[in-house]
Amino acid sequence: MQVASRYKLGPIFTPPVVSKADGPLATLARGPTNGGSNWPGGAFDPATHTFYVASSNAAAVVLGLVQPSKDRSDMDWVAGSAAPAGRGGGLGGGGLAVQGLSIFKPPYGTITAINLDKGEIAWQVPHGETPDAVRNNEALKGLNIPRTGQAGFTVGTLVTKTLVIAGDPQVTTLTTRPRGAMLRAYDKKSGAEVGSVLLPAPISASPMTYSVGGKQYIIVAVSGGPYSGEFVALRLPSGGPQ
Amino acid sequence: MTRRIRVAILTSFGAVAFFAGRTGSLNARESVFAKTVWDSVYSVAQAARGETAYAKGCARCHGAALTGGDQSPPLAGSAFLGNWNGQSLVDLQQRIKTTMPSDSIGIYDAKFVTDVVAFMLKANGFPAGDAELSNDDATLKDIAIRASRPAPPN
Repeated sequence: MQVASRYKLGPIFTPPVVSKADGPLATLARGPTNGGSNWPGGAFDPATHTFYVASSNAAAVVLGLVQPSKDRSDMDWVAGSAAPAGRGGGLGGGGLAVQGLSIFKPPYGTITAINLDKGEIAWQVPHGETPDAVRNNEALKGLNIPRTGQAGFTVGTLVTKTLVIAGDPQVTTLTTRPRGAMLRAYDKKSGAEVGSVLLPAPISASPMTYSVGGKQYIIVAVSGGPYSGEFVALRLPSGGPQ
Repeated sequence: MTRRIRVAILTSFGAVAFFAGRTGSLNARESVFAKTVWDSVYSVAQAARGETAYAKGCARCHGAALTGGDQSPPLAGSAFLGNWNGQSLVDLQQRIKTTMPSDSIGIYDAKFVTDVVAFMLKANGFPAGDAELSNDDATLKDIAIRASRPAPPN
């Protein structure tokens, strides 16, 4: 609340405001360009008329206007802040986080199955391992935090006869496995997770599948943090899941 | 950007130990770091310089509040900390120096970048100290980024 109070809040299409150090710093927008459902899109299943789509709930963008110095721009106003969030008064307010925790309520990211015949949500599950900064957070010590999902706009879905497949948009480090991001498979009827494979970096686009020489492959693009872009192709065993 | 293609064989969709040999474990590598970002590795004055540098060189894409936007990832909060958890500050410094700003790569010198790193540490809630963060690679290599405060030694 303390962080959000420094920003202008309002309904959809609230315009940017002139940034003032004593507030408002900017208009706080929840995911206009890096949240919600983004360019990877979703996957439509023609058999069941269901659309499977990932969305990010915890993405924030601040829209403030400042007058630039003449050596920077000849525009009257440019995007900026009169007091960047680093001056968070010890809150670590960068990225609109408090003690490393988003100011938004989890789930931070979900996959939703929408029945297009009825226009109803068939199921919705948090997508993505609980981030390290949340799972190991001092402020949450002793609490049992259910999977929060992850914020990220790079999650696309792949639908097969039985599964919905999508990758985590963030790297996590668990004691039970090496550092990495998971590629997950959900039962497309229920949303229950039925399997996962470790990838070396976050997924950076939609998975796709193809077949060569009678073998089926799933290929994903990964990158993020210090990890350069890479394609990873997984070959399914003969007679594996469809 | 390098692009490599790897083909792997899946024995089942639950094979989580798949890349175990390649990625290594955080705990095994952690022991090679002399410090973490919780050890007050930058100064307040340096972070203030970095804040000015960030506003000049980085904020137009990564946002005034380090939230990211469009194709630019956030530089604070759990997404940033997750992707960099267990990496060293020299990794972060090199990533910025060799890929940023993406429309004019390499225009900022090591001091500028290190000041920005100091500001990012501050914005992520890591404590400041008396000494400035050095832009020396060997020093930065010894400092681990840790999303949460390590337990005190027994």
